[in-house]
Amino acid sequence: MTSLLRREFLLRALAACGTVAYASAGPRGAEAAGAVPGAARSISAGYFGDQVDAVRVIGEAHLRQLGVEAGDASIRSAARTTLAMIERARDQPRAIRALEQAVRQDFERGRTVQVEGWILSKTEADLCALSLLEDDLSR
Amino acid sequence: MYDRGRAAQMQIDARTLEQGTTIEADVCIAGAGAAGMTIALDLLGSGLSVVLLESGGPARDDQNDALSEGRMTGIDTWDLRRMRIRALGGTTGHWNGWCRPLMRQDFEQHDHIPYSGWPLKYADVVPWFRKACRTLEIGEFQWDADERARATGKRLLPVSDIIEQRYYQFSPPTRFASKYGPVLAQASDVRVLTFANVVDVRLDDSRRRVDGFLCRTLTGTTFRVHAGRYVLALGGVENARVLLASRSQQREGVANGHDVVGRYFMEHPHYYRAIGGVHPSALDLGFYRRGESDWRRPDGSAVQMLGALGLAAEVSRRERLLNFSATFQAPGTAPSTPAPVVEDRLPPAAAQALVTRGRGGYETTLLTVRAEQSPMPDSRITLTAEVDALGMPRVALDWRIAPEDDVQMRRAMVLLARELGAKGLVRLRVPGDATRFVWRQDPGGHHMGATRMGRDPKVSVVDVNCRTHEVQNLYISGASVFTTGGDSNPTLTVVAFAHRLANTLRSERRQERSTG
Ligand SMILES: Cc1cc2nc3c(=O)[nH]c(=O)nc-3n(C[C@H](O)[C@H](O)[C@H](O)COP(=O)(O)OP(=O)(O)OC[C@H]3O[C@@H](n4cnc5c(N)ncnc54)[C@H](O)[C@@H]3O)c2cc1C
Repeated sequence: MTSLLRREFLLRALAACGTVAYASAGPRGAEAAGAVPGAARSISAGYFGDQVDAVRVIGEAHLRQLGVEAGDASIRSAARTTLAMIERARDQPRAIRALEQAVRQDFERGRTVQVEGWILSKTEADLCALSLLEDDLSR
Repeated sequence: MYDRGRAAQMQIDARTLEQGTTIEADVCIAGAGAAGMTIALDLLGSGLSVVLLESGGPARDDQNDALSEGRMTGIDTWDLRRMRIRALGGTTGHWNGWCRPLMRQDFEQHDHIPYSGWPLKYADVVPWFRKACRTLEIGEFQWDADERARATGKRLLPVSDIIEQRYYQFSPPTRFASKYGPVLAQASDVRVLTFANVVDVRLDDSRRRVDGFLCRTLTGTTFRVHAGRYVLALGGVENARVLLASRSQQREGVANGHDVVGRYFMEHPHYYRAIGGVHPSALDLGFYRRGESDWRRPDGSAVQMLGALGLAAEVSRRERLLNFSATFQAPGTAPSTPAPVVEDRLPPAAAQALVTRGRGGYETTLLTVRAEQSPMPDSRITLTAEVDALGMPRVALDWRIAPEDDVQMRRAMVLLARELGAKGLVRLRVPGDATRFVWRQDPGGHHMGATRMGRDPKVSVVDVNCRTHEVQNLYISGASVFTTGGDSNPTLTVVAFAHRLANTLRSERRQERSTG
């Protein structure tokens, strides 16, 4: 995917989720850093539908358990595999389908984490953490 | 000498016997609970004269129940007195009727379960299980969940074959006293003596045979039963207690030359209130809610059943795990134990977000997991210095669970959670070290293992025929003979082995007759 396509996808994703105003999704983070923006928070919101507030609690607990301080850079680093998956997808539906498959495979292959007792897929725990990003566009 | 003619067709209150009476019989069975009554019923018409001794009377009473009092020195379970009933019918006076046989793998030897491996196979017990199904008034001996789901039009959860679908059948529950008491009371070849407590197993000079049971009533009458064969069917704790307390001739008690009696005590730890599940409310759990099956009893009433999930035998073996069965608690039936429920940490709404992702409602359900424990010599029944009203030493029950069992159970729950998660069905919350959830280990009132079965007298008390290794004419019936306990409630297996023992006694009798 070219960076132009990615940017287009990101903007549409943000608009679709309604979490960030289209106009405010400017190129600040992404292009200032000279990299492709993540859109992870928006994808997380898309994945969890209107439940995104609820999953933040899980995200916080997951990070706490990993000993990771809240902060965009450390969240991105802790969830880098999932982040990479999101970035590989072409659009939000595909990203969500890939995530769904990853969650299923995590459970099947034993890639689970235990957060406050709940047995969660590593991918979904990452997604919960990504919902905590302050700035969806920075990397 | 006691008059056999007078005894015929009677239930006799032992308190009315003359002091020092001796009663003669071919077989003396002590304990008229599920095990003892089953054996007595099966011996009807065998040509054997039977005396059935029961500590209590027709109804439960405080004085008799007090004889069961004991101390809990290990994991604190329910109180021993309340749990067991000292009356005709024994503890079946308040059992709940959950039935499932021990499973094929439960009889096998497993490297990861110390002291496992029965001296017989599941297939050897199947004919007796079939008979036990009839005795306990459940449906057929058929445990194929696929077939049952088809027959009842219910749906199984679509899980892969790492999970084994199981189900319980429910006895009405059969109350042995009212169901079978009248049959025995009418029988000419069985004499039922109530208020009759065995207090000492007396051996002959060789110490290889029982010479008689010494019995006492709470009113002070002492009498003796002299028989060709003797069966202890006093329940899982009292079987061990009477053997240990029979030390008038041998310091270690009877059948206890290797200090095994009372050891390897097992329960079924019930893991309650900690394992929480969240699932879409649309999920069809009909098979896993207690409901009517297509089986009918002769009176037309339906046999109830309840679906459960366990791990496939192959997976348990590979992952080195104990057996367990998990049931979904029906709404509104949470046990009244004090531990917190699912909500205590992550709000269920958070878990809901993971399963439903905003698409529809959800429900929270607690799972009850009935688990196997591994046999341990240090989990044991011993005698204390305290005595009951008959002068019998009371027991101390030091029930223990190996720390490895706990670890295995957590791992097993994680496997279950992964499978349910992979299918997007349920997210499970399992106690974990980091979270220190309350992981309640409640007992089921299932007292197993304290006179266990095996080939090696150094680690077992009875042989494959439930006969004690050390005393030729002494047999034991009840869950105390279980080598391992699996996770199935014990009574179906107890009754199956009681039928089998009755058959042994009958065939020994036949052999004796044919050899003159
Ligand atoms: C609350 C509760 C619920 C249960 N629910 C279930 C269930 O749903 N499913 C299941 O499979 N199992 C259940 N059980 C277990 C079930 O009750 C036992 O497995 C079953 O009763 C065992 O039968 P038994 O004959 O070995 O012992 P018991 O039924 O206890 O009978 C022993 C008899 O021996 C008599 N006795 C004791 N000492 C002496 C003595 N010294 N001399 C003469 N007689 C004596 C007693 O009075 C008693 O009548 C439950 C147990 C409890 C406590």
